[in-house]
Amino acid sequence: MSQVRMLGALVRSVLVVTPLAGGDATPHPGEPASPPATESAAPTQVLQVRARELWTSSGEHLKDALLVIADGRVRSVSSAGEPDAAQPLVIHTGVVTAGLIACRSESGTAGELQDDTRSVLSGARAVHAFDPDSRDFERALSAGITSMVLAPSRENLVGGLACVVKTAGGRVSAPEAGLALSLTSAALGRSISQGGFLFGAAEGEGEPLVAGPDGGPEWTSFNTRGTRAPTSYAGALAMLKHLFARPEGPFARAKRGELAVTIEAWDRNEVLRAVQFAQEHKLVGSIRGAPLAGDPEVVAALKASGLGVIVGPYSADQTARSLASVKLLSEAGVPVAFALDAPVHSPEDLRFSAARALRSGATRAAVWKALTEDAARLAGVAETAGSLTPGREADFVLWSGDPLDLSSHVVAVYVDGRLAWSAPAAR
Amino acid sequence: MLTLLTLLAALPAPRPFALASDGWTIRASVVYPVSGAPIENGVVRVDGKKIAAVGKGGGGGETLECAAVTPGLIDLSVDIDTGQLSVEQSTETAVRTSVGDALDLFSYEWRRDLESGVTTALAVPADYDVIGGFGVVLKTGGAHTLAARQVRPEAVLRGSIGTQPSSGNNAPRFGAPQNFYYRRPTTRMAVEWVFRKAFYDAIQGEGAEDPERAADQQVLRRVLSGELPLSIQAKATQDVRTAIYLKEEFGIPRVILDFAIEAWREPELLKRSGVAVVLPPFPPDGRYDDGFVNDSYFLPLDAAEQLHELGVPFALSGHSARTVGARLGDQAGLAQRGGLPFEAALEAVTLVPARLVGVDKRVGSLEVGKDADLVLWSGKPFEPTSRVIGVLLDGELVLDPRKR
Repeated sequence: MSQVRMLGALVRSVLVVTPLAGGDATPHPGEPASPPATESAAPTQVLQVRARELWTSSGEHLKDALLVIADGRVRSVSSAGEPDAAQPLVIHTGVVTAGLIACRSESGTAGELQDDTRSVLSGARAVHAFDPDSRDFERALSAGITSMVLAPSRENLVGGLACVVKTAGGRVSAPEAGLALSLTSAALGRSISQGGFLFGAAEGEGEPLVAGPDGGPEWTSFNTRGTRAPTSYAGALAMLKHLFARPEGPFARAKRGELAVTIEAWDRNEVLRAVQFAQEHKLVGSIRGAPLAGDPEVVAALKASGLGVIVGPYSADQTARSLASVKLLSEAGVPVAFALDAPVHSPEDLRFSAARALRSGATRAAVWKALTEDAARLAGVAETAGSLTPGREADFVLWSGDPLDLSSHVVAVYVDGRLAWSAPAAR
Repeated sequence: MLTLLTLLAALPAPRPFALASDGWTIRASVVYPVSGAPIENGVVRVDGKKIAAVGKGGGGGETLECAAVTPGLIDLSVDIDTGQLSVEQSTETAVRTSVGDALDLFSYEWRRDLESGVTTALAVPADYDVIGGFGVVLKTGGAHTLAARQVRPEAVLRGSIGTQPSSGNNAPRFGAPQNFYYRRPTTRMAVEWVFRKAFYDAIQGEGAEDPERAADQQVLRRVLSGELPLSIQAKATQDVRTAIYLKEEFGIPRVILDFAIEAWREPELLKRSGVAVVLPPFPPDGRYDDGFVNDSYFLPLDAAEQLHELGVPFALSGHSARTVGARLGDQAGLAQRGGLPFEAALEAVTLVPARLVGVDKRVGSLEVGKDADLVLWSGKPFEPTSRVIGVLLDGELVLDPRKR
């Protein structure tokens, strides 16, 4: 049964104003029964959505709501409001919510975000690396994701500038969404792309030359050792301190609080080191990683720092302790959002991660905020995305049911007020 | 009142680490203050984070009883670091990096050392550089931040003589250099050369127009002036000699030879030069093998006694042993088996190491006003039949003798 029905009277009136092209009166699920107004007229483009349930933000669930979109932005949201008979209307019997936001991904970049030839690439910009026509974005849309942060790889101490893109049309909503820093061991001591084959440095502690699948020697960290400074946490901190001591460019903007930072840190000691560094330099932004953020001391330090945390994506074998971090962080008032890391992870993993956090004790409100509002905040697009409130960009999803229930599916996705994806009619 | 106390004692502790609001009274058959003579049937009173009284009487707060109490032990050679990630190897002289920026304070190894009685430790960068940076003195327990645990941030400058700093380096014999490990030193001789060049340049101000080098040289000059101790790993006889020759050549006032397995072979040099020595753990067969150069070093049980006879200041170390019976307290027992008097063994794991790294105003002995770091023993300390049953760290009971 179609999730979207047209009220007979309205269909007729709409048809009078803007007849459907081609005479096919059966719309795709979630599709308005009329095309947008013609461009020549250049009037305000309005779209109305009547939904059985509409989530404006984490706290507010409206029944029989009317969402009015004008020129790609939310004009109004009301409960039991009357639609304008002169404008196109979508009737949805499920749930309408703001589009989901993935706080870190490599979608559409096909490995182009990884340049580890040097440790500091502060001038690199992820916005120049993605293909707006990549199928990755369509897949993201099909999972209800309307915005994502494309961030440089964690292989570099300073990876460059992340960006926020819409998953439809390749529109960039924030070209410089944050400075990517990494204080993980992955950023230390080696450049995978620079390593010579076989003859590298002598063996290091815990870095054995292992046999590859064909029995021959494997290309490992063994032969890439020593291709890049720093090699140590202390050296990494020294280098960062130097860059922030007399800051230029993005470092100066980060230090003034104008540019957020995202610091990769996984082990608890890495997280505390990163938090301390951010506090010393009054940086704003988030920590990416922190799977053991559940540790009370780590939570306290994160809370004191004002930084957010980007967790996930959770895999099937994630530890209980790691899964509990959304619950513990949100209870402490630390903003949390989910990373996606597509295309390695399926875009469906975003909602899957949220469901796992929910099952591990986080509240529905907290998990939903992590998928939308807090994600928008940590991505630096809180002014325009993350909730269905007047003035925000009209990125929204029509769900068959409760979006936090994994058995619900996406019926249609709108980005900037336009239908960007709809489920095949047969569904 | 007694009934009430009994009742309280019978209740389960609400937190794993109980901090008594009125402090602690520790009664022991023998109190070993280290700074003075042992006190039979003595009492140590702890108020807050500090020692409030050491003597025969007094009380207050909760009472703990044991056979003996000593100051928290101090290990100048713990082996708890983040391995390769603890030392900056893009240069052989990473003078201004600090191991404090690289420690994993969440490592369970700190807890293991703490429960064996080690309350204060010197952590140094792993010895893959000729000069690896600052070592830091810190407590082995408490909150997991350096700020909470640190006793002395730039306690020593760490160097290494021998084969280890050169072991990762290559000579460009087989083609073009592919990474920064194609560099000096690749031999013992060149390690010494890099070491000497660093200090020589610091004296001359060579290349000091580069602010980075000038800042490095400033640190090296603090070593030359005696403000900052130099801790040098020197295992073999030739490395002990080299370290002493460097000390004498440059007139470096404070040198601590760490892991000095064969220091005992050079008694005259030790005495003449005024170096201090940190002995490694006594191995079961007396031997240390160095796999890299296929060499073997010998450490007899009476090595500590020999240093004691010579009047060389020395500390014992447990090197974060994984095995029961090889930890710092056990090393003090083994040293006694080699002839070292009990008092000297006790000092070698408390006050002597505290003095060597300049933290003796806070730790190393049981004196009023010092940090309340105490070890409670089931019998006479360091005896094979005794064990650590309780530990207080900064006045906090981190190992409860009543639960054993």
